[in-house]
Amino acid sequence: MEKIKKTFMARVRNVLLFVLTVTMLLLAVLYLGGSQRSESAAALRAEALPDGTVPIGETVPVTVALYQKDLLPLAFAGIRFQENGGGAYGGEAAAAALLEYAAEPIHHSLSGAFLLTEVSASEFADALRGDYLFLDFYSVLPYQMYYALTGEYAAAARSSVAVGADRLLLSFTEAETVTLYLSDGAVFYRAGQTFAYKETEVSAIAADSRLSPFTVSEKGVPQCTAAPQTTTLSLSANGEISKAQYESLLQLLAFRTTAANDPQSQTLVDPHGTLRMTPSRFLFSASRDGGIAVSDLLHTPKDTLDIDIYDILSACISMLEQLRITLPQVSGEGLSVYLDTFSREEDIFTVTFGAMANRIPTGGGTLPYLAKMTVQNGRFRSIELRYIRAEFSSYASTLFSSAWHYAYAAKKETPRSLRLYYRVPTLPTAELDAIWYYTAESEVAQ
Amino acid sequence: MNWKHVKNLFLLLLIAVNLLLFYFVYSDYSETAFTDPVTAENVAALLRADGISVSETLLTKKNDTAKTLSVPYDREQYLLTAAAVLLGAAPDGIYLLPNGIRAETADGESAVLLGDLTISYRGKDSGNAAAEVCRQPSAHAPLSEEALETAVKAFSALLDLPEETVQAADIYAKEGFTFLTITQSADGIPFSGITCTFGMTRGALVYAEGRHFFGAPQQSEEAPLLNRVNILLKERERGTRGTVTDISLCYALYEATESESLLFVPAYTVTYADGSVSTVNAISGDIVLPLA
Repeated sequence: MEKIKKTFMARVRNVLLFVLTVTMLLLAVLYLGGSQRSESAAALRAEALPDGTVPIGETVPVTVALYQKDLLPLAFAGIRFQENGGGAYGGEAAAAALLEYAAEPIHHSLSGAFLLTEVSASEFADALRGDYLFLDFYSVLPYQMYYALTGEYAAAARSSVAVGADRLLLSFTEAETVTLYLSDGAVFYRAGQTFAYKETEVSAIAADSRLSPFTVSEKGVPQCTAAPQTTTLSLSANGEISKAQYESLLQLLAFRTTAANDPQSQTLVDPHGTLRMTPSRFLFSASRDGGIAVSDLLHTPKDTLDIDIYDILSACISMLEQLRITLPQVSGEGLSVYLDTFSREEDIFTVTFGAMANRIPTGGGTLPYLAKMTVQNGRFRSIELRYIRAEFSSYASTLFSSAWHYAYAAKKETPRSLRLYYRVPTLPTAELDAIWYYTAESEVAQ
Repeated sequence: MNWKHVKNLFLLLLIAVNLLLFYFVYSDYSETAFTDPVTAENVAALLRADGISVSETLLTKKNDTAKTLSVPYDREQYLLTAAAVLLGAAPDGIYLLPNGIRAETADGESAVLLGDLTISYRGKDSGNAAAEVCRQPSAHAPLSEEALETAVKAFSALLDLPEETVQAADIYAKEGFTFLTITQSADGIPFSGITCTFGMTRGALVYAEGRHFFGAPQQSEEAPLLNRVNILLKERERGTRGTVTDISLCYALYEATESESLLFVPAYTVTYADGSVSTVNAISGDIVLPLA
């Protein structure tokens, strides 16, 4: 009996050991699982409402990429493909359609680990004798800017020298590849990477009935037979801004808004810089160790050492957009903006933007640019905005074609460029018409 | 070595460890599943000082749990599908509205469907009459069991809804029409602002007015919810004032365009004594604006 009792107790002990071990493991899992859950709560919260989530029925906010902001100042676009083709001036929908098609081949050609190599004028001229898509721009821009403003940017092609261009030529070869040429009318470059194109697609684009007959000179000056229609403008530089706008401007430029007294104050000084206001413009100048961080204007903050030229471009565009929202009535309301220059001298980058009316730039001695910004060591060193306000007349002028003007100018000297401008002699100015302006090849020799 | 003593010792150790673990698990559970009375009392006093009166009982109730639900959703495609359900066939004409579409058939029927799930439909022959009857404040006539069963089957087929869902909704008869008023829900948690009245006669759908989602959530994910204390503190931050009479869970609907899905996110409906209601996202604490 005693033996049976002992055996029974031993069994009970073993069962208890087993049960308690299992219970211990279960409780441990429960406890650890609970702790993990609370640690990951923040991450789960973020996942539950990802970016771009809006309440049902609301319009989803759209993020516009840099290349979608239409900052390239197109003066003319033309295509020639299998005996079809034509051209259109920069303000016309047909030109925009050609640029839209050309963006991908341009972007592809200027990306990746490929070199840009200098070629002769005769190679460029040969390409113009075949099938091509030609784009003429108002500004000579570094090739990296064409790369950044035609697609999502990562790494542009390499070049041993600084390459700037205001005319791009996409040459369609029989092997169904496109080769990109860049030129400023004097020097010519070819991109190392080609792009595969679809013949049917290009044929359809070349058959656009809105295009007009055109030719392109050997150095890349387009001559179109269509007579452009332009609107008469009145421009003024009304520098009146409200107190609320002034405070918003101070906030944007990181000034103490408590210092805001009178919107017409001449000068405001803070440790990071000085703000000078005049009736026709404002100028922010950074102090020696101050300035506004470029990273503050980027979508994703970046360390100063990691700021590259694309970040500088993006931040400058963002700053200009903010200025136009803050001071709409003096920052070219009704006009569109374009990237005019992007240059570098040692470690200082200078970026200027211009204003266009119906895709024709306004400019001149009184208005060299709409906005100018300098960046050094990841900080804005200066920001200048020239005030401008435009009114459009209902009156439209029909001008002589670029082909006519080219032929007229060529009697004296060969034009190196021929484009429409609204030249601003003084501000204010009324009844301003767009006029054809050309630069001569002889200027290059000088 | 006396294994019996070792086993006894081990047994005692296991009992101690189990008791300790049980204590930890229980503490963890009670901290996360409940707000302790002292915290509730302090929070109630804090809220009272800023104009929000709330009973401590409401704060110490067991914390709610709910998952975030989702279903694939493309707004344009959904509107077309919903139009086909309402009209009984694919529409012959679609007209774009600022926030939705108007779908029409060749024989003159039309339905308006908006992006916030609003629907408005009048059947060609009896639609307007049904609308008029529905608007009248007269009493509803109860349905017999047989009529109720027929109505449930009919609405279930017309609206592609499970019979149990239809049965749980409000079905009534009025002047020759049978109406169904349904507030959609999932796992017993109602969808905020998604209530619709459908009207039927002779087995055909002739009327719809309100908000309705023609579909059902398909996926679910864990969602760490803020508790009632957090929600009321968020209300306080927003400057809300009043006496809280009820806090209950609901689902707020969101569109996630990147993943092309409709999200059903747990939210709290905070009801105040003056009749005002706040809907607060139970995950972020943000206010959910009422659907217009």
